[in-house]
Amino acid sequence: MKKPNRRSVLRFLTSLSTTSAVQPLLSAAAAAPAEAASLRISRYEVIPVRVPWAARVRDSLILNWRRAGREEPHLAQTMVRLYTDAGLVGVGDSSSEAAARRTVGRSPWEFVLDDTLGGVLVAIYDLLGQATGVPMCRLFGGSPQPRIQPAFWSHCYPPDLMAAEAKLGASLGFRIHKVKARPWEDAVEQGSAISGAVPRDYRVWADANGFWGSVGRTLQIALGLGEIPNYFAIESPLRHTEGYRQLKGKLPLRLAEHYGVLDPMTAIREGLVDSYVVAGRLGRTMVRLNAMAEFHRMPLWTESNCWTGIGQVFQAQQAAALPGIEYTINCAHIAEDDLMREPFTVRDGFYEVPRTPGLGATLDDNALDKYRAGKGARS
Amino acid sequence: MSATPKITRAEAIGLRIPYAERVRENMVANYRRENVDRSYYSPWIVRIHTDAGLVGLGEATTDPREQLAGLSGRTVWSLLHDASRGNGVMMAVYDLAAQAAGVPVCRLFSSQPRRTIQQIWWSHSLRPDLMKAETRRAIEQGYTVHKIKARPYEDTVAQVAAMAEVAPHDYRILVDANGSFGSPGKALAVAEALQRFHQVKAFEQPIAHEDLPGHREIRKHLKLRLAVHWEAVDVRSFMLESLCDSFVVEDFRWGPALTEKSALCELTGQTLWVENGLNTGLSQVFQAHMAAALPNVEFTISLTHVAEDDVVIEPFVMDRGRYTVPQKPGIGVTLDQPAVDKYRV
Repeated sequence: MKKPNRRSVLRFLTSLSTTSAVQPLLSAAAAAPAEAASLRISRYEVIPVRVPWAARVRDSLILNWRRAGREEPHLAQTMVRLYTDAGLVGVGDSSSEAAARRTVGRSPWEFVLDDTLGGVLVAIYDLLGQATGVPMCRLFGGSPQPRIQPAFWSHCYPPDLMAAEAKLGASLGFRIHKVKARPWEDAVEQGSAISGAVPRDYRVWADANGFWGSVGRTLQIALGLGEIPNYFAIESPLRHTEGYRQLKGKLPLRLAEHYGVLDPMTAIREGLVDSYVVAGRLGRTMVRLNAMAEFHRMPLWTESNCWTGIGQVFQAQQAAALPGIEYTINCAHIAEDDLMREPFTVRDGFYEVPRTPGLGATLDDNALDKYRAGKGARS
Repeated sequence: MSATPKITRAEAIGLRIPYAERVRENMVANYRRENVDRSYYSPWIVRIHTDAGLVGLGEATTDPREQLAGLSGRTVWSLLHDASRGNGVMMAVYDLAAQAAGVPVCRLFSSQPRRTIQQIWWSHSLRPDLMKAETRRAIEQGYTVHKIKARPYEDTVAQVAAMAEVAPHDYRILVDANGSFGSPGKALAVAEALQRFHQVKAFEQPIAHEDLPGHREIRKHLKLRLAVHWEAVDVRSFMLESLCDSFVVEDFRWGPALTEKSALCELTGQTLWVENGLNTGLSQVFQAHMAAALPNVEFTISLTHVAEDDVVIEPFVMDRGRYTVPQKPGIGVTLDQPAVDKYRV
């Protein structure tokens, strides 16, 4: 066919060289609209904080971590603010200065689903949501759910404290509770105490983090927990595939494991686990795991970003958009402050995802001043 | 930046683009043998205008006019990733969103999109002499991979032999039987007969999709790569049993739907051959953006080279088998209005 002149010229120009001097001509001939975006990150602020653990659980928390070989006297976090030349401010947590520095002078659109940014990605998506006038969840999916199911979290406290925490979780509106199970406490005794303190529809799962060690021990504890009506699952009882094979079909509870511990296709093929717990990368990895969870019906329980209110709301925004996420795990309540201005309100087991543009949550300046640990950094 | 452009108007234009003259007669005859009376492609162009002066373009596979109702007044961003209005509107929204963001479409899906993707040439089951001419043409235009239809009314070996006369050693041929080999035995026999042609690398859908035992049998003995259509097979079985190397995607679903398929293939090591963008340069280049963003998309396939026109201004330039994805904001192509006027129904 004989082409229009303009087209023929373009074909000819293109045939010359894509790196030659004709490139500007090509660009001009099929130019982008004049209103093309100019959103740029102009500077960052990184704020290290140390938030004491909540007084009601502090001693037990510190002791638990010490028994596991970790010194965690307080919650150490690094909050971040990214500023744009248009006056927008995005917030994130679990950040590093190096990651924040990488974004300066760049458009936030250059970091879509970028796993390497850590918590700075939260601030990126906060900016994108604000710039586009949509809640963050709309940037992850086309038909997000209005509410999600967050889980309360407890370390391996003595039974009476565990019961008190479960009661607190229930009173705050939670209906799911993840508790740590360790050899230095009797998991069934803890479960009985919890069961006596909460309604029957308050559901609990026990996370052993591999501490149960053997198939026999796992079965013994799981069968005990299975007798407690509130318990519905155990997490990470072991850390090896063969053990999971031996557990298959013998447990009275659902079985969850951290993604990456077992070969994922082996676990899927053999039906070794029911759910995956995911932590760490927030961007493309989460989208990828969501696809796996949906397709293979292995729901995700996320704890990628769970230590501050900002992280909790980010998890909620992702869970709203990604149907493979069943529960988000929340830990901010074990610190003295969640560093967020807005309350994280849970009703009847659900959290309503903010509908305002961006994350829908803001850093509490007063709390930042109070818990700031050092000068931090800014550009 | 007009960060939140609002839609002011949306239109749909039905097109009828005849097959390219050089292959028309043969293609029409082939389709007629398959009880399809067709001598043209009939895509729809979706054009969405905003108050910021942006114009988004999409290609729909079916009449999208009902899906345009209620778009006016909506912000572009409120429609992002929303598949409920069909593939044409979705593509146009992505075009607008990327323009508003000042990034190429691939950047809406990945922070590290590939610069180039592998587009492959396509031929129906043409006569051997025509197959040879098409191969020559594909090579001249920079293609290095060629998917051909295998049908009972042509001798596949004779077709490939004709192609091999002009194809270099590293030219790759993918043979798509659309189930017409009928049985594992026949499929394996054809594979055996094609063995002397090093260019033949894969079979696509050698037998009926629902024949799972047959696929197991073929998989056990076939030395070529094997591809099946995602939308037609029990994908879970093909993944868990590793019954194929690649999935062909032709469901015309963009955005999260394609992202999910790629993500699942990352898990299994299988790849995608995407042929969602078939009939105009709009969907062809949009498809290239998605392929650039999704790591497990191995090939993209379009039909624009066997149509009289691709109705976009920019040429689809291939270089040593690869297409460089436009880096301009949006899809990065412009409708060729005279061509649109010419083929408008």
